[in-house]
Amino acid sequence: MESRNYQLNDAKMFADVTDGTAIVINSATGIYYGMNSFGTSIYENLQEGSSTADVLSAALQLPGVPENFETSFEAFIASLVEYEIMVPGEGTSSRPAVLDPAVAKEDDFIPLCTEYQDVQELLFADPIHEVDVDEGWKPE
Amino acid sequence: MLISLKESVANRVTEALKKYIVKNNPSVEELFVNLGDIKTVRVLSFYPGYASIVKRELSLSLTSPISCPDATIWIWRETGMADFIPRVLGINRSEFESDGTKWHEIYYRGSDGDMRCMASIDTEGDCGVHYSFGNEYFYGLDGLGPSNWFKEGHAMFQSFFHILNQPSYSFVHGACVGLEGTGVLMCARGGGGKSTLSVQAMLKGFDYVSDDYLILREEGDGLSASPIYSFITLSPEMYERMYDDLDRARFLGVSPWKGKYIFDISAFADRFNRNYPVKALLFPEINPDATVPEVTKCSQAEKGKTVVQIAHSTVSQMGFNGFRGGQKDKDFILKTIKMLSGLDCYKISLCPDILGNVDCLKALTLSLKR
Repeated sequence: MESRNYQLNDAKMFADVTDGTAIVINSATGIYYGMNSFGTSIYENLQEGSSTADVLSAALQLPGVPENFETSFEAFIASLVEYEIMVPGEGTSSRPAVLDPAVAKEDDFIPLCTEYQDVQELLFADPIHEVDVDEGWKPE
Repeated sequence: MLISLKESVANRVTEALKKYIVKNNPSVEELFVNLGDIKTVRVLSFYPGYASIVKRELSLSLTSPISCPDATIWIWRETGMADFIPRVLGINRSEFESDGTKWHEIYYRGSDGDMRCMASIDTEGDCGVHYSFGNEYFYGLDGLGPSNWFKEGHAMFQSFFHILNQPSYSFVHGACVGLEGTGVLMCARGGGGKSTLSVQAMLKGFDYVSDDYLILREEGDGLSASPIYSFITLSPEMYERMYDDLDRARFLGVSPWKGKYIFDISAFADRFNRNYPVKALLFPEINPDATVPEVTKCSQAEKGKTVVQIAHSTVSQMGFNGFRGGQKDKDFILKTIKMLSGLDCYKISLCPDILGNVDCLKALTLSLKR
């Protein structure tokens, strides 16, 4: 994975970290995103100037880190870029990343960013059930 | 478990639900609530004693009966929550519980194709049903003892949120006080100091709107705030410090959430203001090490953080009726961003001297007026 610096796409995104959870709102669409604790920790390190290589290096030093961690790390960074939460920063810099092993372990070393998308997509996959008040529900 | 119904079935189920409530609850008390001169809501309480809770919490918003209210809220006691589903909805219980979950949501597809949540049913824990269809809202509560009346009574804010979710209005989680027609909207999640600052400001002469929930109204280029509730919540420590000035406040109970004290402050009715102009956003932060409070103008990123707090802390409390990142979430967030984007934003670092904090707020508010 090529090392890069990223920063919040503050032209479009509003962000807040409270109680170890990052919440990001896309001001153009109203969609909001939430990160798990480990994802939030990685996001904060990137925001503070660590490169992806700095964060990956720190993560790989954590006790119990799984062999395939780099895959989930890359997927997390890709999701931040795909959601337009973070954009590549200008220039490159290096700053040792600080990661809490307990936070990483609690999230099984999997950083996540979840898009709180329209629940309707989920529901459209669910069939409409015929319900009769007298006869009861007849599953299709 | 998620279940989807046809709208015609949802309509039939709603009528069955109303018959069921009336049949099983012989007496009803009727109240009318004025939501910021925008909507009038009828509350039908079939739950013995619940009307008195509504009267305490909303005493300054109660109004005379009208023939065509904008919405109706039904409240009744529902003790057999698991049986409620097959009994009223006509749904086979074994099928319904086949996935082992205790939290169920029922949706219907409207004529416009949108899916709308009509019921969320919790068959353990707090145990209750929240249900809405059209302009009618239903709350079935299992047990309403002293420890949870505040929580459940306060839960009506979910209905208020939906009723007020119109293009020019928003029901939001925030506090507002002001001076000489210049208000500041305080945004913070719990523990940020907004309740203490707003209540102390009121006691020291500020115009008061709310310490926790309020209605925002956009008119032309202006934004105004109106109250709904007539109670405040304070930590026991802050209550002790404000004790002498709060002589007209009536103790209502202890919040089950953070052990805060709840007071009816309707005796301070002369301090309440409706349609109060909002001129700035204020982001309070408690700094226990500071000796004096400090105000700084927020950067764009800090303003964004403030907007996230007010939008997300509101949305995250409306956990029923499709508010799980659905279209209404987006609409609410976009509307809120639009409402707040024209306001300057300030951060106030609060010190332990609560009177000093109010003086600092006074200086800021008067400077905004100039």
